[in-house]
Amino acid sequence: MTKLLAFFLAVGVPLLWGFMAASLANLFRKRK
Amino acid sequence: MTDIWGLVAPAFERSLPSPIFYPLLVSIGFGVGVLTGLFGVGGGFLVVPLLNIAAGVPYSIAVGSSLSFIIGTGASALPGHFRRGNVEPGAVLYMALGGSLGAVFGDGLQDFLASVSGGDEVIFTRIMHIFFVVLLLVTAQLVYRGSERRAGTLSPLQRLPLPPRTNLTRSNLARVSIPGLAGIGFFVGTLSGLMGVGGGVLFMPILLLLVGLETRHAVGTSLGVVFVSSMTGAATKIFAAAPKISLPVTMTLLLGSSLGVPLGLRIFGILRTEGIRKYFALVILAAVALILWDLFLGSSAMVG
Repeated sequence: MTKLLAFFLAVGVPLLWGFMAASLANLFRKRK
Repeated sequence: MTDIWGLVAPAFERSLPSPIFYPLLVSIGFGVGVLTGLFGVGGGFLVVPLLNIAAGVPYSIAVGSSLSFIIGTGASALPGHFRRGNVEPGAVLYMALGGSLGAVFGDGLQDFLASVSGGDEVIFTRIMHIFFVVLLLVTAQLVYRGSERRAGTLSPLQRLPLPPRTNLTRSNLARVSIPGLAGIGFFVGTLSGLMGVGGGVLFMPILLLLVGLETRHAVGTSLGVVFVSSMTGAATKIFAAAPKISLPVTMTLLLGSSLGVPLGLRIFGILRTEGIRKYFALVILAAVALILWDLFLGSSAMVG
């Protein structure tokens, strides 16, 4: 159970960061 | 309450005295991000040896954290490639299957090498250094030479007499060998499980020359495959007896990289040179020089 949570952290947090970075970049591009 | 933090932040880090550890990681991430923006490569093959040599992160944790880092960079680049139709779904499916198996195998291979080293971190580091020197030299050579397939000819995977076969519709490639695709995936996955590299630079020529994809499909497809096999690799490394991923290391690298990519893109926009990839070979050779320096004169020196 703990390992499962650790897995979701190790995969999910970078994943969220990446998606967030992509949408921010998209937003800036549209503004320009 | 069980120590979840301990599973994603292995003990080595909490005992690190150096106050420059995290700033150093941000700069490594930043540098790799600039290269990503400039040359369009992931940079996992630079991150892992740099983490080890410059920041003192043990190779096993550097490799795991690099895979987690690749998940982050992949997640930021993949949606755009999907939207532009650069991802070849059939190729991703079969290569990711092979790649996932390869990532598990590569992790096992790393454990094997660690056991061959008799638990001696210095010997294990030397072995990994040598693997990286070989990989980087092959990569530099491929980058320098470039790889364009002659149009109108069947690709080696179309000619491979290994059924069953599939049609890659987006790239107009008919009757491509599925075991061939899975085999290539396995090879790249093994490299990611063993060395934490996305294989972007090494994978691209393989996709162009062996599979026969066009450049834009090769970029999107390699990202897709590496993304899936990195996830499997990360799972293997988290569920291992001693976890091999450090989330603080991953996130600091991602922070630096997110700051570096726009700068790299801007420099690329200013330079606009066609032959820019050739300079990338020089960056790789600089990394080789750094590893060789560490191997013979640095902390893991083979002499003295």
